[in-house]
Amino acid sequence: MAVQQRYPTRLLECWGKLEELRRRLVRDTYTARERGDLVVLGGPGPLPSVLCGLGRFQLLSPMPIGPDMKDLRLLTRMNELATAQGYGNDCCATLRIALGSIMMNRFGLNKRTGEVLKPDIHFESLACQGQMKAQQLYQEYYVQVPSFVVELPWQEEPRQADVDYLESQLHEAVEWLQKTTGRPYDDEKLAEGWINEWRSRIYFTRIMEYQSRVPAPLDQKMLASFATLMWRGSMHVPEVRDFYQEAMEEVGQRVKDGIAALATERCRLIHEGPVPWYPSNVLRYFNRYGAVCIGSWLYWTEFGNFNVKDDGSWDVCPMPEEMGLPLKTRDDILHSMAVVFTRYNPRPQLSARIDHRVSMARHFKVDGAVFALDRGCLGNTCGAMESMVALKEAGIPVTSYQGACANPSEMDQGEIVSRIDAFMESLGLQPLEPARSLLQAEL
Amino acid sequence: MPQLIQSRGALPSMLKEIQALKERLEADTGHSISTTAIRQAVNAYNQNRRLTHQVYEFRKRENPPITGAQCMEMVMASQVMEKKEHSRLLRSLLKELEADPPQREPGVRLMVAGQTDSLDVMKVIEDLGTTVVVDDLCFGSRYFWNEARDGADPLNALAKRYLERPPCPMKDLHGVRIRPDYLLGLAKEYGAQGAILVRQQFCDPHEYDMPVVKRLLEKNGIPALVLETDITIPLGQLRTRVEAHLELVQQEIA
Repeated sequence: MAVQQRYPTRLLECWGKLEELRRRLVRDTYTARERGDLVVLGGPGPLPSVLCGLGRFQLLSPMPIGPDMKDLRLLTRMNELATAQGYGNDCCATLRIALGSIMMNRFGLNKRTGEVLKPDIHFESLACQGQMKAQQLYQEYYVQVPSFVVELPWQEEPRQADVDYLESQLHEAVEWLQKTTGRPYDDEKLAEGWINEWRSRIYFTRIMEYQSRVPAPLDQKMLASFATLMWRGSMHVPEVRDFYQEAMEEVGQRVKDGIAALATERCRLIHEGPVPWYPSNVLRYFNRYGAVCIGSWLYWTEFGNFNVKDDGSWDVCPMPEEMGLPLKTRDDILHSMAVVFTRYNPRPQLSARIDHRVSMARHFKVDGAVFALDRGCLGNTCGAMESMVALKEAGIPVTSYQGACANPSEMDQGEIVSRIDAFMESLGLQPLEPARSLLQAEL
Repeated sequence: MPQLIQSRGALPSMLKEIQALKERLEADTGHSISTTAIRQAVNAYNQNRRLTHQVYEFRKRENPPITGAQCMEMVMASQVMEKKEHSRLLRSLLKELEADPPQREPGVRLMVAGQTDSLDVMKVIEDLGTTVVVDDLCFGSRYFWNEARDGADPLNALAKRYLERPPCPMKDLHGVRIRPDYLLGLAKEYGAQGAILVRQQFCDPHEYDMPVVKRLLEKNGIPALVLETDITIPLGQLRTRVEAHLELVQQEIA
């Protein structure tokens, strides 16, 4: 019998700090009124630091996140309520649960006090057309507050015209924030917040770059946990910046020490598309075969600032001091924001995402790819089929399963398990341990 | 093109996009495109739009001499034909519409809005004894509704026209929606007694508008049916649903 190679592994030392930060951010949001902080509906997109010029603020995510997402009955009910209002299964799954949550009076609910937090304004920067449009539904179903959305432009390649468009919108946003809130706008605080956000993102991008090493120092589920701070739009917070720096240094040390996320790593996968939130065991189901999910184009472009070079390598965006852009005036700051999110943001390059996935698979030394074809996220599923063909042509085996990231009724656990098992066997891998349920709770 | 057409950066961005397209066409074909040629083309398109509007005016009549399916075919032809030739045919059509009495009873007057490029859908609706008197479709009124008003720079006029078109749900973004009221106005102007809102699956912006538009139309006495379609369209099912809807509309009229 062949002896299975085992890598050393160990728990992440920064994990406790991550948990504490997450708790603190939630606490800060729900106690915002006690300190007179501005409450802003928004956050998952980049550039929350535009708000920093206003002084203290807290973000309330438009996506329901947290323990509710593991309660399958609750999720199902939220989806049903959205359907009853005319928003069907093919709508954005996260919007549907947000609507359901609003109708159940759970959106923004402080479970300790029973109070529902209502924001003062809505402010987001988005590329997703559906999410941009969804702000009208929040106005109609949740709370009517002044709203401003910055569009992150779609582009086929980084272009000056897109830098100009984004920069123009950011100037408009600052004027709107001043006028709407009546608060003075401090450019020094803007600069401080933006540089923090920039650093946070680059530390996280470097963490993702470490995933190109064998064995992978982290798995995709750990990355998802790291990303929760990004989902809350807290990249501008100094403690978050410090956390990402510390995490990057720890992951770098893991690479030096040859520490693996999965001791039995013998196969590296990208798990593409939105991972179903409620059965987050999907990402670790592959472990029983000695396979580790190292990340995905979606993660890399949602949370990272890469530039995919012509030779297919993934180049991390420089730090502020390395970029060489002036950062003194408001004009400088907003210009640098536009530059970073057009030159180092492959996500809006719709056609290129197919080639990007192939180059990513090569750069990150991947043996196979799994696609979650999400009926509840058109934007992320767009191009998936074409990417699968391109990966196969590049010699990288591919499988897929269907679902919706926030709708349990769209998930067929048996089918997913069968497809994954068949795929792993087709890669010549036999199980090293018994199968586990994908779901953390039964419906 | 920019989605946030309300932002002040939208026009410069759109203009740059059109300039880039022009430069690319010039580079690929080896022919330069003169300002005069663009101005002439803009005029030809505007002329065509005015003529198409004149045809749509006939749909306001008590018994429209042209059906919704015919209008859709006319607009779709305009999208692929040489404009001057299409305009010549439109002039001829206008004379016929004025001269010839309608050959059919109009039945229930409907508005069709949303997303479809299917003549079959339109024909099925009208085969049930209805006339589609107005539409808000990419392959219908939205294609020609507004003109490019020529200023000093015809490219700027083109850019402005795209931003000022009757908004599709994706462009109707900031704050309060303007599209539901626009559709209600259209329905009233053309005397629609009912509406069919066609939605293609997985187009979220349209889907987010549908319940709001439906509620507003119905509040104003215009029963609305939401029809969900995919790439393939089950015409039999669609016929049954439209039939049921027509019963509701007829009750409302009575």
